Amino acid sequence: MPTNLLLRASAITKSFAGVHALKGVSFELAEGEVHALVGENGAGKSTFTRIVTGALKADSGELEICGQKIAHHSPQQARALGVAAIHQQPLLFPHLTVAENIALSLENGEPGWSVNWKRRYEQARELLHRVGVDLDPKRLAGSLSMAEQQIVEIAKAIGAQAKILLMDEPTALLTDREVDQLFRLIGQFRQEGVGMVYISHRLEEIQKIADRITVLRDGRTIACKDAADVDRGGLIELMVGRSLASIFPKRDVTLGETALEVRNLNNPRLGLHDISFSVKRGEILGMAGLVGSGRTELARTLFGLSSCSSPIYLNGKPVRIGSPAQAIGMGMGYLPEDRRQHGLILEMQLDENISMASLNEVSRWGMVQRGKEARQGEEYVRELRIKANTASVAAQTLSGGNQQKVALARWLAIHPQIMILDEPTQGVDVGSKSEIHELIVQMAERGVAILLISSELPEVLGMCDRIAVFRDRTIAGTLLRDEATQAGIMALAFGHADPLLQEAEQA
Amino acid sequence: MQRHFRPKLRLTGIQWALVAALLLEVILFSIESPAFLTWVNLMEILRFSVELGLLAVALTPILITGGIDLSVGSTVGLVAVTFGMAWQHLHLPLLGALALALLVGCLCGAVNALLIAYLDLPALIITLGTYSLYRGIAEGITRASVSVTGYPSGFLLLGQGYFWSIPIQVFVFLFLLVFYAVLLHRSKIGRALYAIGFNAEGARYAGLPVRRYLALIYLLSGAVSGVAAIVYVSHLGLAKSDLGTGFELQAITAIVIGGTSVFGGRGNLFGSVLGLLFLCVLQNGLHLLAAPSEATGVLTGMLLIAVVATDLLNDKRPALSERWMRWKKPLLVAAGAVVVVLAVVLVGLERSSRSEAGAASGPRRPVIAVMPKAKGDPYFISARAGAEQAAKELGVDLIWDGPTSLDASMQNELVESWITRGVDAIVVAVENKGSISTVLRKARQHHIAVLTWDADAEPDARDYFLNQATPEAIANTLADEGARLLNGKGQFAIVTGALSAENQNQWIAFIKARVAERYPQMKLATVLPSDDDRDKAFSQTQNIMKVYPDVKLVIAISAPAVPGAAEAVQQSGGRVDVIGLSLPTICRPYIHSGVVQTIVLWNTRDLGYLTVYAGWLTSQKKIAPNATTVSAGRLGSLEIKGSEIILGRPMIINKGNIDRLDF
Amino acid sequence: MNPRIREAGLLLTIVALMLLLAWRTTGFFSAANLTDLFLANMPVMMIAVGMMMVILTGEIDISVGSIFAISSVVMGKCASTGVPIWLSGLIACAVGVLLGALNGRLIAYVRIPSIVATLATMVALRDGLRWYTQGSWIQGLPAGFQWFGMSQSGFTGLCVVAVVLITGLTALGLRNLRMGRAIVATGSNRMAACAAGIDARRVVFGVFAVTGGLAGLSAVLNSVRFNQIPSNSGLGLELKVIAAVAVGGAAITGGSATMTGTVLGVILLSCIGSALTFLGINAYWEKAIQGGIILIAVAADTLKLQRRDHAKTLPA
Repeated sequence: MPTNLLLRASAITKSFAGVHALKGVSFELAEGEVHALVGENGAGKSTFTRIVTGALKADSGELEICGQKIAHHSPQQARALGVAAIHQQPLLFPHLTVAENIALSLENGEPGWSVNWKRRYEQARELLHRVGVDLDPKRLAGSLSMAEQQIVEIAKAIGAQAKILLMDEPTALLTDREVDQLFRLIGQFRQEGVGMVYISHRLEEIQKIADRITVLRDGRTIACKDAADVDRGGLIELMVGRSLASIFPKRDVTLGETALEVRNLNNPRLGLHDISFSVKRGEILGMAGLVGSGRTELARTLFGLSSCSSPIYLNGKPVRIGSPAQAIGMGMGYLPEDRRQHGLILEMQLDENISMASLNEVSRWGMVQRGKEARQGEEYVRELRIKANTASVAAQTLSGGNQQKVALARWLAIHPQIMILDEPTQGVDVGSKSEIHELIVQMAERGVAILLISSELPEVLGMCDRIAVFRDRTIAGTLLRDEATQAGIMALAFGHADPLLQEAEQA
Repeated sequence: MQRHFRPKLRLTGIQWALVAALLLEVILFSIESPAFLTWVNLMEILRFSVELGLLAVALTPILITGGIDLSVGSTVGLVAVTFGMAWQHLHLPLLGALALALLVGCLCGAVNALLIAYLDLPALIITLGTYSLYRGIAEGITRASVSVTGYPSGFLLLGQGYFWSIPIQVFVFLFLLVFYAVLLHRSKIGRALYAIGFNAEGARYAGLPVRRYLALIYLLSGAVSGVAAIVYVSHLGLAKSDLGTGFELQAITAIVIGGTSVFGGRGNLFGSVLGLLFLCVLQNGLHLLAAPSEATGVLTGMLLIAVVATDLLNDKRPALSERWMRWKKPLLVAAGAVVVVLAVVLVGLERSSRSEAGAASGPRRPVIAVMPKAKGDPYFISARAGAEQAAKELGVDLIWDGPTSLDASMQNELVESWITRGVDAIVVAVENKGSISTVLRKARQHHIAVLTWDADAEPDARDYFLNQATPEAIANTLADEGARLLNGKGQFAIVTGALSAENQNQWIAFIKARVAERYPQMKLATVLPSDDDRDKAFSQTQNIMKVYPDVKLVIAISAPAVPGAAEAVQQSGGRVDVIGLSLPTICRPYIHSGVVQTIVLWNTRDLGYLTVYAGWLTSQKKIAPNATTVSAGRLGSLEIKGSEIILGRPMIINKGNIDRLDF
Repeated sequence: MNPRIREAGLLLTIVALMLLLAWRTTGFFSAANLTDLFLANMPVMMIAVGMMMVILTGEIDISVGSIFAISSVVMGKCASTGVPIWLSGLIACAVGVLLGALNGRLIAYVRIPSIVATLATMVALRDGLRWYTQGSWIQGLPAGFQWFGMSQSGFTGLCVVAVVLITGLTALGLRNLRMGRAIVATGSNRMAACAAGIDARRVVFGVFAVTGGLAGLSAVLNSVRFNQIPSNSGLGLELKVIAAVAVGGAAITGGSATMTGTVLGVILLSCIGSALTFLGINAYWEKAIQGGIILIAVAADTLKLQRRDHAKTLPA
């Protein structure tokens, strides 16, 4: 592109405790460009963005922002230069209002010591309007849903009038409608000459909006290509360094008896109502729907994390599940959505994490048998090809995809009959993703009944025997594998009154 | 590849530093004081560590889950008085009282468990509430004044006896230590507790019964506090509502020094035991060196910061680790060095001050150890001046040390360390008769002259009691003086020190008796505590004047309470008389202004002089067995009545004579 | 938790207590008694303002009692050696700020957990003071020392103005100054605060220094009510202050506390002791009742939690 360069980085290196995270990364961003940054987890994408935003300092290499050479800069300086970032996890103040959250990130422009509340609310209202959502700026950020929080993050970036916008998985928590809204905004920014760095694991998104794509692998720049010149298969090959045979390894399995059945389940506390479905042994039941449509809430209810009076039928017998311990006792496992908060104890070792839900099996007289536990841990590390020297390292030292495999190993270790997987591949690199898909299929082949919650429609379509679509905290309809299409799922998810539906069907 | 099996209980860097520091401490103290490294002294250290140790052991898992329990000290107090009252007032058999008391301990833990584990309330605030609640109930049911003594000797063995020359309660401690070590470091529950400490939500998602385990450790903490209370009662031979005050912070200090993080997840029991031993050895060593008690607090505070700061620098945070890796070892050494340097400075200071005090060196100088009830009390401070004068006159070494606030157990500990040190005479102002007599008898067996002053121990536990005036005489003088001012009729109020202070409660009882007997028209309106705090005495007196307008006289019976009460009267301009028991120095302005009519006291400086003089005479066997008088230096000839040396009658100090008194 | 509900609950409790006092006693509401009550609890109120900010940032300070004692003694030592009284007061406040800054330094920059750091300074400072003074009181204060040489009512007025100014300005500042919002933001989400360019370490350092300064100031104002200064004042002050702030609804995890709540918490807890005397209830039960109030106030939150509505809004 012939236009002005906003960001130029060359030969950036950075290491943590002797381990190289970046080994000579070069990157360019021009005005009005969307430059995608892709790579497996641990490839160095986040480290690179943190260096640009001033949160980290590079060990060596040159960084130039808007033509200015930067040796060492703070987050404040970066902001002053027009760098803004939208993170994967919204970083908000839960006790402050939406307006304040927006204002605090823009304070550089505000004169004086005091706060002009009127101006703050007006500014927030205007920015939220530009994003296209109707959100009360006086609401406390702590009361917002994750998607709403992400929207506030976007409003913050708009308000900062950034020239360089870094987006790290901005769509991970968004519904498709909000994603469309975001893409419209990106188009608008492009017109205004803003340069955008777009990081995502969703390759179809990248192909839709990116102008250029830079691929990182193991802390190095592998390739930088125009988006038009490369297809998905090629990208994946570049990212993992090998080609993946097929993306979804779903195989047909003969289904067994009904393992889990729910009839008219109500959980007023989480807003769930009139949910009925059943799943057979060996079957993978997909659960699609918008964020907040009740899928995770259902999973929490089934797993005993939220009490509920409706009975659940396991192998035809009605049971009540009051706690996760009971659920595990009945052969149920739950891989939660939030790996870092719920899925693992990051500070603890791999073997300890793996045995955590099945401590009884490695214990005698209530005492943990460390030897047995460690052997079990090593076995899973080997079997699931978890990248770790030994099972006695802390889980936080692993990359996201490997962490997710450890979290999954915990549930494999209880030998479940029913497994609930909540966004099992969210934020996971492409290589680990297909390995996790393979593990899911293997589980189904062993006769495990699986509930697969996913917001990635290709994954749901590719992995599941049937797909239950959620809307407004109940099941709006169930589709068979053969009859399901992206448009069909979205029609159910949005309901027919939605104006965006037509748009989606056209797409 | 690393070995598969890696035990959880291993030493962290800071714990190695602590082991090194502990060794250094031991070496240093044994050079300075030959009595330190003896079996008997080491066992005494253990004996005095047990109660605190039990609490530290019970608190460790709580800190590992990221919680805290500030109520353990108060639970000790509540369980102790429940036990004492159940035995003495409900006449339950000893075992029944024991069971009831432990049940109360469990109940205390259960309340915390319910609120913290099942209602998700913050542990810090909840246990701050129960800290106040349990102590309050203990004070309420005993009216703060009951102290139960006179337990059968079989029971006292638990806290005072030996088995294979090891104190018996050490076995109780070891048993619970092993129990907790297995629970925390070997069992499923312990594994879950660590997981909870790192990430409670994550533990819940893994199907661990988070609430149940949290409830369990808070419940156990209550129960173990109960056991500590029973051991403590048996150790002191006394149950009182203020037992265990401040234990919670000491226990937490020991745990944190041992390397456990208050944020949860990190730490182990071994560290807690190490931290505890370190603190107890430090305290014992400083006593043996006759360093002042306050040094312990100052050193502990500095050490706490040094240890945690060093530990943080070892923290493997990515951004910091590279820089700090290189500094790791020197820093560990630094942590140990801090301790050693501080100790050396202290010892040096102490030696220089001692050599200054005794300029004339010659053969070994006799050492007279004198203990006040509380070092900070103005009354005892003025006595100290007299004691120093006598020490100079006689050419003896004076050790003047005592608890910084009223604390019967601390008195025992000090006497123990003086016995170990081998002083010539011990002169104690007894805080609690029941609890100190055993250790004083032990001192006599070691051929140390034992005297008591201010308040007496059991008669067979000491050689002489320096009787400055009996409680009865003081009370009578105050009552008579009050009656004189009120013309024998009307209402009066008493402002006391702490509600649980023993001798003040005695005085109150004697004042009541005297009034009932001689002045039937006088009426006691109320008794309010001032906690030996001038400001609180001030506001209590203000309240008295408003709530009881008929009160025309306030009797303040704690040294800081008299000026407090007087200031209140003076500021209100009211016509209420103040009399009491205090020192001329701090009351002088009020006596001059006429607000305070009279204070009753003996010459505290003379009393201090007598402690050292009589201690010296007794240790040199210069008092004939049946003497009726004794010549005490500048005090002249004093009367001996039985085994009491009489200082004189209480003085009545008023406008007429106050300017002639300089104490 | 909507703070307004807690404040309303506290207000109702206080009103109920007041009604009880009005019904059963005489003289509680006399000007003299209210003045006395105010002066006696002035230190708690002032330090509670600082403690509230400390708790807002998610930290805690248990060393305020020791700082209070040291500032009192410094004030007395200076005044008794002939330093002008106003200057002695300034020096004592400065010592408070300095000790608070020491806490702040240890917590914000050395990163020692606040409960550990202030536990250490609490013990070390208290015992250090005992060592230095050997327990003796400070006497021989100059003639104009008491009430700064003013009349008693003039001094009371000064204290009222000081307390109103401190609470009022802090409340306004927390709401309307960027610095105030930075305190709330730091306690609400430390990482987001750093990302928003707030120097969280400086904020934490600052609130500890301010709290130390308020402990010093209240020590100065408290000392001049008398004509001699004891060396062991402020024992247990930290727990009174923390209890009042907690009863006032501050979340111990930071980010949420209101000045109204804190003031009401201080009022409730400081009235209880005096109320017991007026009602003729035995002083032995005071601690138990205070403990009960803390537990009830904190536990009341969970009862309300069951019925919380989803849309939390903050009235502008």
